[in-house]
Amino acid sequence: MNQLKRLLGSMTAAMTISLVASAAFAQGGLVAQPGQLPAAARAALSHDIEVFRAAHPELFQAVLDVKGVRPEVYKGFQNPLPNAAPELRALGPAGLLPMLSALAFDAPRTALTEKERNALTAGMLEAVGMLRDPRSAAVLHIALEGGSRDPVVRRAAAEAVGRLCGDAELALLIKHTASGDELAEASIHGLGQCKRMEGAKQLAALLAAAPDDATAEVVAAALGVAGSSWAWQAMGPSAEATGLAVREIAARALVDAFPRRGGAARARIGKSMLLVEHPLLPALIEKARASAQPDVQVAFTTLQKQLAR
Amino acid sequence: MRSLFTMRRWLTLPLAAFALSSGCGGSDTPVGAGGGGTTASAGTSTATGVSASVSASTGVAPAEAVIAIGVDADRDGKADPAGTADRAHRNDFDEKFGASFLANIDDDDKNGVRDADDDIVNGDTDLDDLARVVLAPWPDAPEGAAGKLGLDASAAGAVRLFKKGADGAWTAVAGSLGACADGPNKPCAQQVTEVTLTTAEVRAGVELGIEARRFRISKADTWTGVADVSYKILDRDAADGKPFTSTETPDGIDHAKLRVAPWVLFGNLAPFDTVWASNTSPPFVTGIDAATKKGAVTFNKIKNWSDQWTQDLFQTAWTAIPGAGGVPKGLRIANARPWGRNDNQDSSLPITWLKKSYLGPDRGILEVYKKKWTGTSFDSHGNHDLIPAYENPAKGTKYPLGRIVIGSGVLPEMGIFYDAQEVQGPHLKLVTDWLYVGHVDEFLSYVPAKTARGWKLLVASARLAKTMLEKAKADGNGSVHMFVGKKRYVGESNVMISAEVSIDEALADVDVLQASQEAQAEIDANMVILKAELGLTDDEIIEIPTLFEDITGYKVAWTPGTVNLLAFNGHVAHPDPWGPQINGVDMWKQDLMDRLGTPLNGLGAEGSGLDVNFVDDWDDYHILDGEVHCGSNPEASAPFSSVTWWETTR
Repeated sequence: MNQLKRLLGSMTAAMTISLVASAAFAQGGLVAQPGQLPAAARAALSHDIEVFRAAHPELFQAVLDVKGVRPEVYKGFQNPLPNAAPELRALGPAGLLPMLSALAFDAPRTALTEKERNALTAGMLEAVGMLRDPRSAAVLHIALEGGSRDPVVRRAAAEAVGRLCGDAELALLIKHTASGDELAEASIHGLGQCKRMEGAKQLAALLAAAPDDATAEVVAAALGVAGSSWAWQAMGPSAEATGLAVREIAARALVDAFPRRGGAARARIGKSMLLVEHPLLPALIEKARASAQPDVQVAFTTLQKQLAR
Repeated sequence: MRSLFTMRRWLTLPLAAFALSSGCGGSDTPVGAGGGGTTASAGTSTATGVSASVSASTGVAPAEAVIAIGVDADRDGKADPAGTADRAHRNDFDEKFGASFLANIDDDDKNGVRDADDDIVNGDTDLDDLARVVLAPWPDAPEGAAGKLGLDASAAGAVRLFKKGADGAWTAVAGSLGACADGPNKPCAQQVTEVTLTTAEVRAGVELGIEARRFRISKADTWTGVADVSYKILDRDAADGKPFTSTETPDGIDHAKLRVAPWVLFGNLAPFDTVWASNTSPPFVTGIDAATKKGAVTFNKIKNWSDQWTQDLFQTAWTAIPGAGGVPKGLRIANARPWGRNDNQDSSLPITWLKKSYLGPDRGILEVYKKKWTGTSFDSHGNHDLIPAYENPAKGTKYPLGRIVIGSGVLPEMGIFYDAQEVQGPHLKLVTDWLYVGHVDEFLSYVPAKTARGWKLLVASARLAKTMLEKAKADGNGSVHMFVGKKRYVGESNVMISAEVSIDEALADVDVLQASQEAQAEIDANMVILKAELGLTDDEIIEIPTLFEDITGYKVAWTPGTVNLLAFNGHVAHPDPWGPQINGVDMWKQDLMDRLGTPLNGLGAEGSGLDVNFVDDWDDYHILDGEVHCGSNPEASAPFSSVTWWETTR
């Protein structure tokens, strides 16, 4: 009998949550409309969200009430642009489900300009991405492929996908970087956040094949981020071997590209080498320097000095 | 680069055969064309030190015409047509000689209108801002003689001459007259290039005051910043009137050239006497108040403006000309940012506050931008700074008044204006487009040092911050928290989230470490530029630990940016870093006190270290993406600088 009561009680609770969810989700989220999420993912996520909402309604309200996109607030920032990222990041892991709710189901109803809405979306995607929680995967996929025309939102979505970077995310980013479609540039940045060898290899290939300096500059920046020695160090000893491998891929690609690029692209490649800091870099640079044109030799020498620090 | 100021000689004339000296006569008085007759010795002397006198003629020989302009070419604060040096160098400009005048854009009568924007002399203090030009008397001028005072056409749109009448009243007579409805950077209603003087005025001599209504805007400006004043005397005021000549002016016309004083930025080494900052943040005010009191500097709390980013609102600078007794006289001039915080509401433009609360006696205001409501965060003046004086023999460069440095994205007219001033340019450009706010003061500052150069560079260093945290961790302090008691705010519901984080957590934060390393690479690239341009050695650079975070691809200080500081007269006010407390001591504070506040790095005029202060800017500045320098703005009064611009040979 008690078991039946508990069962009925839990069914009632589930139905209540479902009704609340249906009402709440009718509006749609910042990056997804109802029905866009795969059914299973939608059900799982909505359940998690409603359970968490019951326990922490204030966090959901805080996400809906983000101050940094309100003119009366962001006009006071030193750079007076709408900006939600730091505020949402400050919520930490507790902010994940409230933010996924806002992204997928229940967008803030505050009247926002397009600029403010984009800043809110980008900031939320950035904050979600930094949590690197697999529960965000389905929402982030839709965010990337959802067709936002704002480059900042696109990049934030791609970088969030990149930070997650499971097999599906890696495949998604490689697909867009390879296709050269409208998501290609954002996806290049996304691959930079993906700390996996396959991502680094794809970026290395893109750098080698870059049709122009502008493309090379974007790819080199992402490769530097992918190979960031400090980031790999922060990931701890378990990531050390992979980190060395990724950094070597990056180092070789960057040294190879350096003499072939000029201006801002070469400068960016140099900066990325400073990020990668692979132990082989001095030798790779020295070898490349020996056969380089005089101006490139000078640039390589400057880099060597910087790396020596 | 050979400076445009170097030994500039616009017109070469024979040194004065002409001599006007009190009581002299006879043999020194040139004889030439002109009327005869006997005149008594005449002389004038004014409170401004201008003097002119003429000898008596014997009546036997006709006295030579006196066609002579006096300007303060010897920089003693007096324009003396009888002064040998003033006469000899009236068309020169070099490190020793040459006359100059002020852009008179302060408001001496406190009527809310800049003195150059109206057509009158606004009292004695305004009169003191006018450089003097004196036309020597020719007591023997024949009846009907007419003087012709000229001002070159290129200067006439920007310069104005006032004439002192026989009754002592001053009247605008030449140059840019009337309303300047489109503002001071546009030609005004009337441009007068020639003024006729009566026979009586020719005989008595005329005292003139000259002012500019603006600075030189660009090197391509039709006005070069020089005013060419000319003077001739005709036998009658008619189109076919014949000019008198003299030995010194065989063609019958005398010229004198004066240069408008440039707008000169203050740097961190200026002798500051005032600091401006908003009064909106009590902890910030408390911190600045304590530091400025120690430095005996006036703290002007801004109580009537909601924009707390005081550094960004306007750039403080000065302009000056030689004054009496070798003391420069001049003005503080604030250059406004083109945008405010309430879109397209002019009431929020910085110039509105400047007009209301800054403009006054010896405090001028300026708008360089072509159009209000243009520009971005890059045009905030935290992105415009001054590298103190330096010389780099390797590049053959010398900047006795320092060199203006700006970051990315600054409106082009601003750099053009800076360079047009000549004395602190060409400006140096650094790359700041990787920063979310985008300002040079986010990673650079400068403090005095007892070294040959006289200062050292402070530069933000993520590398040092990381190393310090790693050492603390290695020493067993990984669990120690930083940002203790500090919070971040989320949502209208004011959910407050603790900002505290342990050293271990910070070092394991992939995003902070990655962003910090990206920032370090950008800083390093800027340092390559700075080292090459300035010839800085490593021991002239002091790294200041700072970690960065990423906002949509751009970087901003994650730890309070302690390099973003207020420096004045041997004192520094850093943001409180709220660093890890190890054994009860904030490791970052202690590091700054050790390296900046002791003789270790030879800082301060005596090399004994700076007075290091900390300001709690966390709640009201740091988490809004700025720090102490962003919220404060210092300025100095005359003599403004230990180096005068006119002696810089630039």
